Amino acid sequence: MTKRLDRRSFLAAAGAFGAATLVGCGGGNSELRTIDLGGDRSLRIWSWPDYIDVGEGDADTLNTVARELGLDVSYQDDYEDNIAAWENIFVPALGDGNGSRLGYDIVVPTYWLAARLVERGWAEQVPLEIVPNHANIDPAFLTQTWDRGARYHMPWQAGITGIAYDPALTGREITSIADLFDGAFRGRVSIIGEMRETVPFGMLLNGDDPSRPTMATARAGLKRFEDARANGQIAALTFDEFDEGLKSGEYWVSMAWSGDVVQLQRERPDLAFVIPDEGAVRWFDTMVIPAGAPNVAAAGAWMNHVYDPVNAARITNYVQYISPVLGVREELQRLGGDAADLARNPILFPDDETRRRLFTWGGLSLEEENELDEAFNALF
Amino acid sequence: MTVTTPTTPPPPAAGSTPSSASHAAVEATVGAASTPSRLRLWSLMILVGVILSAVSGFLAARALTASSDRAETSTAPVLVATQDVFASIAEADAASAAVFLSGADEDREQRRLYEDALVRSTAQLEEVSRLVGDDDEAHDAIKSIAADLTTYAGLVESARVANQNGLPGASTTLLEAIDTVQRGIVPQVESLTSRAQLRLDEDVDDGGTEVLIAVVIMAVTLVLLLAGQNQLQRRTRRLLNPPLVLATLLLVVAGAWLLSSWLRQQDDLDVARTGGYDSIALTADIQTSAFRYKTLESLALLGAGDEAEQVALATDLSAIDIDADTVAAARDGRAAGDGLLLQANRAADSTREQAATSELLVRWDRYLRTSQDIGLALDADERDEAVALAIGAGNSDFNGFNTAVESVLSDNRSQFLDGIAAARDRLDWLQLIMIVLPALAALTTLWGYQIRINEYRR
Repeated sequence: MTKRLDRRSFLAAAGAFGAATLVGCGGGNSELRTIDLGGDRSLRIWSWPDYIDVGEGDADTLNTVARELGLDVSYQDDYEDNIAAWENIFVPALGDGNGSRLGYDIVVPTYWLAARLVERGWAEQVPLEIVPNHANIDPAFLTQTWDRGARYHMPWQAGITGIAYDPALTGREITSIADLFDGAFRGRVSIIGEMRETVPFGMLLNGDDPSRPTMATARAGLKRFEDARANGQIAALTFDEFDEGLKSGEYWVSMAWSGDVVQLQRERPDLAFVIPDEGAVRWFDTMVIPAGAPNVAAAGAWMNHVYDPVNAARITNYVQYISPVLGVREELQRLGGDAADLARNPILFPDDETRRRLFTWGGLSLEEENELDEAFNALF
Repeated sequence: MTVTTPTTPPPPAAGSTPSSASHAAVEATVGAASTPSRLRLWSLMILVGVILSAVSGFLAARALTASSDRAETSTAPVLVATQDVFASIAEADAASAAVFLSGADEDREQRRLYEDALVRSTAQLEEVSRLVGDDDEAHDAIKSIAADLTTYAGLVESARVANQNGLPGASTTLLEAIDTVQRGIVPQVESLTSRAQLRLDEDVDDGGTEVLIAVVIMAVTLVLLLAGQNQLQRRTRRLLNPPLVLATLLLVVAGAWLLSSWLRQQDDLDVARTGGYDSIALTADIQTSAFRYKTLESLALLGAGDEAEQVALATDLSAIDIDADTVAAARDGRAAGDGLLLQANRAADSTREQAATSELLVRWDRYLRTSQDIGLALDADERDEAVALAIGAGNSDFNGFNTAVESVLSDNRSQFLDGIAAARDRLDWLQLIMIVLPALAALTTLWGYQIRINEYRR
């Protein structure tokens, strides 16, 4: 079983500063105040740690929502592992059709797990009548084959898995996925310990499209890393601890998460992050209303609120991942200062040419993915 | 009410007259026969009426069920599938042009959308072929579309190879491919749609005549039953014959059930057509016009666009500038103004659909603004900038609009198919009821008369 630690723990302290600069900027959507939420004012959210500005006084997003919508928000931030959540929480609670037992109005799994929930009918439709800001979803997130038009999910934050490296140690520019396999870096390379991010790198190197994988192309992609792990080319499989390895010089070249690198570069601006020529992997965590959720209307109100570009910009300024909300860049520019710096950051706002080289894992059957997970986990 | 049976049959009431024409006709037929014989003849006449009611009711129920089954399993899915074919081919066409414009380093996302749309359209055509049954004309159209689709895909690939290798004639080949869609495939799909619409109209009308015939026969039988009871009442001086009353009620229930099922089925079909299919057709029009607009934009970038047609299409879809007030009004389904997008918004019959159609407005406006920038760049002879905009923000905004249209289509499709299924559900048990109730009516009629005949035997 793979276990992905949170991508964001590193960001909490720095993000708190960013949030503090936004006091008074959270213009709520007045339309929200007219939504009839009925008698139930509770909203229960289960998400990843440090994925929203929380507990920083009245200006944080949670308090803003609670105040503006009159909701009692219970935000549980201990979602740390997709597979564990699937096996231990979602399947037992939703598999027997009694979704209310889950007890959450919104969960924030990674996209491939959201796909499973949607495909099994374990997700409620997004209540569009309450969510006019659904129109602000970046179109890049609307063409998922498992939910074209995003009728059952609304992306929360997105990121890119690319390559971070220390130019002083590599002695040259890194431009290709093939560089991960360069013998000159033997034992100084780390890769991400998530099959759906690493196998696609191998596929891209083979010229295959990770957004439309087959078992054959996925196995071929995995084989690249199996061989490299066996011959000592790859030193480790990491989650967010690749940043420590890069800082210490233990790793020269690492597969890395864009949001973590943005933070790392504040401390080590000399470290570089690239989208390889062959392309990179885009992933996203996404809001899903589980089937039978106790308060769908409150969930809709929350979704609408965080898809207001003003509110979304505040969240981006804190978590520093890619926002799926149109208009966030303009809001960050309007805020000026550090926020405006973020608006100019190509990792948060990749240009069109870069966006065309980003691929999201297209998914295989549950059995096939389990088989790949098992084979991938043998690399640890 | 208690009905007692006397030990001897009372004499016929003197001077009584038949209360109806049926009664008179039966009396004339019976002539001077004995009372039991007359009663037997009455029961026989009524029995024939009840049997005819059962047969005509069953046939009417069968005709209604057959037409509803056909609508549910064939006609409606064909209608939906032909719209899907339309949408997929239009998407493939727009995406292939976008891929082409991105040059040698082609846009893989657009390429994926093109390939997916092409695969979808082929599968949808196969589905249509399976659903149309033995309609030879439809099969001919499907074969022709399939052949054109193969030609189209071949031309797109040729244009792609030429484009990637910098060979001459790449643009011409792509234009030929686009022409194949516009002149070959689109009219054929339209003809398939028209045929399916015609068949749906026929399905809706089918069974109506049979229902009316059955209702008339049941009404005549009811008159016979009432006349028979009247005649018995006069002869036996008893107010009611419970089995015959029961037979009457059973026949009334059978007739009412048939009539009510038919009316409610018609109502459901009307709702499905107006709330579902009309919306599907309108949304499909939106999608087709938008894809045509996008194709013209691509053609303009290839130096072969028709600006006048592009402007006309944009106007067909909506006012060129959609302001915040319009969008706000659209959220309540009350946006004023012309254009397919606003029509769709006003036709929305739920708050969800209103919200979805107002999102269409927002996303179309977003795309149109980018498209206008592309036009301005072209006018300023800045083709590279125009192409960059088209394959960047232009494609992204258009994909946003298109997936929003798909969502609305999907909701309309569900509404339509659910409506058709509901119409079919109205007919559950109808055939059985048309047999069972008249059969019980026949038995109780025989029973009712036999009681009286037995009294004469004693």
